[in-house]
Amino acid sequence: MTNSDAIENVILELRRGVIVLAALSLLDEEQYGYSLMKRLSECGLEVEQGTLYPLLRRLEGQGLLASSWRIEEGRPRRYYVISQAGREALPGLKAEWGGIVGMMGKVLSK
Amino acid sequence: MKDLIEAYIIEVGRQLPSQGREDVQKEIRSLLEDALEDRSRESGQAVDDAMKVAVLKEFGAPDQVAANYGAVNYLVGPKLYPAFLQVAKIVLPIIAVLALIGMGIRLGQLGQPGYAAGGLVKMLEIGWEAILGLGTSVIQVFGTLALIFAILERTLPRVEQKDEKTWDPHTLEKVEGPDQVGFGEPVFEIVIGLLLLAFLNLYARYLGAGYNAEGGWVLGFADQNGWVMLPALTEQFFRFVPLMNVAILAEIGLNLVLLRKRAWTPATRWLNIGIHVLRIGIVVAMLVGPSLLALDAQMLIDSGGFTAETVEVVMNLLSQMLRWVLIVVIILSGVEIAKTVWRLLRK
Repeated sequence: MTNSDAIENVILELRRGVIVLAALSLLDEEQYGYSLMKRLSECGLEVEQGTLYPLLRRLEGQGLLASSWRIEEGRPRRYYVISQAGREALPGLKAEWGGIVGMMGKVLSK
Repeated sequence: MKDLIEAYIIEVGRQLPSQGREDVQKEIRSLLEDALEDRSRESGQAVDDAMKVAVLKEFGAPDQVAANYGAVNYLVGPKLYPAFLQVAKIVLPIIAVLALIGMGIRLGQLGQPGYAAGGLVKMLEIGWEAILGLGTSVIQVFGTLALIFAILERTLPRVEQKDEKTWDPHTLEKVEGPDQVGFGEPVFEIVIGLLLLAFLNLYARYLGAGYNAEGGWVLGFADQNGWVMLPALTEQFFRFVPLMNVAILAEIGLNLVLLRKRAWTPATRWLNIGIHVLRIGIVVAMLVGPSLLALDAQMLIDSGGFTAETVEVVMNLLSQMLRWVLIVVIILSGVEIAKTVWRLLRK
């Protein structure tokens, strides 16, 4: 592994860490996987598709998201939306994120 | 030719567990169609193979995508792998030693009546055959072990994953506690038990002594070309097989319980005593009962394949070996009973 590969991996790991919070936050309104990826991209968060879609299924398995299949434009799409448990968890996760940003600010300024 | 998208979905699905596979494949198909439609709209071009390739490359290599969907398949998992290595490290050297002994016997027979003449070429030939035989045996035994551990991996009771809050350091194995049971020993005994069951029920009937037209003899299984094999064990021996099966199955059951509890209890200690008493009973009955060896000196001489001298050596070797194996089993079981009773009384 070259040095630039290692740095790229670290950046990917950092991004993966924030996808959960970003996805939960944006899935306040129902969206299918591809549209969520486009919205994240519009916000500047480029996510690997192979990472995002399995993550949505895991979050659903953990009860934080709900999903349903719907036929649209003649073909099936799976829509995801934040569940009641996800809504209850979101404020706490946002507060945790605020804490992390503040803490990292202090760590990186030293 | 298969469509690229369909080929990709099939390839990902091939690596996914069967449970939920169709649903994941359906979702991936839907996501890829969304991506293609979006790309086609943005570029103003119809979907073609180049566009499909670009979308699939962005989606990721099939094995990586399958892994992200949680498809981690293995024959022997991290929990059982150390025990697998432990058993392999014991069994494989035994196979190598047996192969060396076999090669030594064949080299020693060179030049004797009924055997090929000695010489460097013949010795090298025997050495080469021993290496080939050893290679085949190692692969067979390694494959059998992998199969047994793969079955154990899927049948042993799952140990619950403990998280940081529920994990208690007191549950760690205490090094000196006589009641504590490690992981390797029960797994080792289960594997040995299964191998013994396989031998007794599938292979024991084929064990025998063989002779060939040139007057050479061999001990082994009756599947060697050019050799006439005479069975080694009597029906008297096979009368004990059901009882031996019961003892072995009970021991496997005991070891499964020990794996689950990871500690000896009075109940499992009594069961252990019971199994060893049964084992001693079987072995004593074997020792005092009619002969277990089907090979009869006169029969071997009459077969014309063996000289009187060879018969004497073979019969002596076999009867002594069998007798000593049985005596050693009685001694080991006696020691185990004494140890277990002492631990029960001490408690």
